[in-house]
Amino acid sequence: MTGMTWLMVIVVLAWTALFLYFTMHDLKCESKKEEIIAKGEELDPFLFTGEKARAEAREAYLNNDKVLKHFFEEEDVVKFLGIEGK
Amino acid sequence: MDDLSKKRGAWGSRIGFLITTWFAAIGIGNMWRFPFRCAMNGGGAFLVPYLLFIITVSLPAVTAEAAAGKYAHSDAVGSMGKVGGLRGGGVMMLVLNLFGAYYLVVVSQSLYWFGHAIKNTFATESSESVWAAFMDNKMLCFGIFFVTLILSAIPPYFGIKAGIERVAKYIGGFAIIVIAIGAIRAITMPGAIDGIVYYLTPDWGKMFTASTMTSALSQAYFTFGAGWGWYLILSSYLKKESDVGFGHLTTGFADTFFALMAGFAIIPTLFASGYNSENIGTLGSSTAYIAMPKVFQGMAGGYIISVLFFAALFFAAYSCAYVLVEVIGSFFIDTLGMSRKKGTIIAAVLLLICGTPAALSSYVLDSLDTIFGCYLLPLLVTVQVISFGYRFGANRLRIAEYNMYGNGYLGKWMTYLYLYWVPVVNVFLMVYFAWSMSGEGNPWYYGWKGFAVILIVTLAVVIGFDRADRKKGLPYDGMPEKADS
Repeated sequence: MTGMTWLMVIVVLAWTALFLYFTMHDLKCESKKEEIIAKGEELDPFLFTGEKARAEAREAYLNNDKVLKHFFEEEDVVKFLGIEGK
Repeated sequence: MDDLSKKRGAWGSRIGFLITTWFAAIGIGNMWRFPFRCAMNGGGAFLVPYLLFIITVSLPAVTAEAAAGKYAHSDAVGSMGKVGGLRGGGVMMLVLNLFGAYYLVVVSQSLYWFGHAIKNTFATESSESVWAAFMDNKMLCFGIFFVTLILSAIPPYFGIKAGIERVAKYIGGFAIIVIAIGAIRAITMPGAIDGIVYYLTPDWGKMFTASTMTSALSQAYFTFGAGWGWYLILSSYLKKESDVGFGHLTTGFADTFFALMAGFAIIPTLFASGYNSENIGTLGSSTAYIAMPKVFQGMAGGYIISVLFFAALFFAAYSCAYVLVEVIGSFFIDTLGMSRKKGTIIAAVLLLICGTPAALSSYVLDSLDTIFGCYLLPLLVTVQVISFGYRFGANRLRIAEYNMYGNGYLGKWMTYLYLYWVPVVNVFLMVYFAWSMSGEGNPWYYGWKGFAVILIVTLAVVIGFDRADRKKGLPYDGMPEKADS
C-alpha cells in the first residue's frame, strides 16, 4: 500500500469517527431534552444551539419579522429570546 | 405528546428516526453503485469531490426539505403550500413518487435474488440463466413486484412508531452489522489488499476530469434522494422539541459510511476471488446479481455469506420503498382527511397501477429512471429552493427550525449554499444530462426535448396551482394558518 492509499484509509476512518461522534452527540442531546421535559421543567429551545442562535431569533422578533414573530408566539418561546420585560 | 402528534403519529425514539432517515438515504445505489464508481473514477480522487458534494449540495438540500416538513407538520402538498405557497410543487412530488413505483421493481429484483440465495439455487444453476429466466417470465416479474408492493405498504399501514420505525430499526441494524462484518472479513482475505489499493488509491490525474466530477456529483446528489419529499415527510412526524438540522449531519455521514463499508466488503472480496484491476471494470450495477453469486460459490461458507449479502442488499433497497408509500399515503391522510389504513391502501393501489408497466418492461423502467432522475428530480429540488429558500426564506427556516430546539448551531453558510450553490448544481445537472443524452441511439425524450416537456409540465402545474390559490384569495404571505385555511 502506498502513502496515498494510507491517506485515503485515514480519510475513511476520520469519516467513520465523525459519523459516530455526531450520532452520539445527537442522541445525547435528545435524551437530555427528554429528561428535562420528563422532570416537568421548561426546555430552553436554544439549550444546545447557544447564544448566537438566541440572538438571531431575538433580532428577527424585534425587527418585526411577521412570520417568525407569529411562530415564536405560537410556539410559546418568546420568553426564551432574552427580551427584557418578556 | 401534543394533539397534532397524537392525530398524525410521531416517532417513538430518536434512534428510530435516525435509522429510518439513514436508510432512506442509503438505498440500493450506495451499496452497489458507489464502490464501483469510486474505484473506476480514480479511487481517492473520486472520494474527495464526492465528500465535498455531499456536504455542500446534498446536505443543505435535504436539511431544508426536512425543516420544511417539521415546520408544516403536513404531507408534501400541504407542506409546500404552508412553507412556500407552491402547492403545485408538492403535487409534482406526488407524481414523482407515484411513477417512482419503478423503484419498487428494482427492490423486487433484490427480493427475488434474496429468495434464490436462501434456496441456494446458485449452487446448481448459473446466475446468468436465473436472471434470464426471471426477465423472460413477465408474470413472475409482476408477481414479485406485487409482493414487494405489499411488503412496502405494511410499515406505513401500521403507522410511524408501530410500523415504519419498528421495521427500520430491525432491518437497519441488521444491514449495518452484516456490512461491517462483511467488510472486516473481506479485508482479511488473501489477496484482498490489492482490492483496497484499487478501491482507494487516488489517481489524481482523473480528479479534475469531467467524467470523475460529474460521476461524483451525480452519485452524491442522487444518493441522498433530495426532492422526493422523503425527508420532508419523515421530519413532519418529529415532535416540536426534536432537532431537524444538526441531526441531518448524521444522515450525511451515515450514508457515506455505509457506502464506504460496502466498498470494503465488495471490492476486496472480488479481488480475493480472482478479479483484478483489468477485468473488474467489466462489472457494474447491472451485474450485482450475476457476479456476486459466482464469487460466493467459490468461498468457504459461501451459502451463509450469500444469504447475508443479498438480505442486506434487499433491506437497503426496501428501506426506501416503504418511505415512498408513506409519502403518497400521507397526502390522503393529511390533505384529504382519510384514515391511515385507508390512505395507505389507496397509495398502494395507485403504485400498483403506475408500477406495473415498469414491472413488465425493463425499457419502461430504464426510461422512467432516466427521465425522472435526470430532469424531474433536479427540477423539484429547484422548486423547493424557490419555495423554501426564496419565498419563505432560508434564513427564517434556519432560525426557526435548524437552530430552535437544534442539537448544534448551524450558521448562515447553510443558507448561502442552499440559495446559491444548490440551484446552480441543479441547472448544471439538467443541462449536462440533456446535452450528453441528445446523441444518436437514445430516444428523443432522453435529450433536450424530454427536458423541455418535463420543464413545461412542472411549470404548468406549479404556476397553475399558484394562480388557483390566488383566485381563491389565498395569496401566500408566509403565515402558516392563512395558507392552510
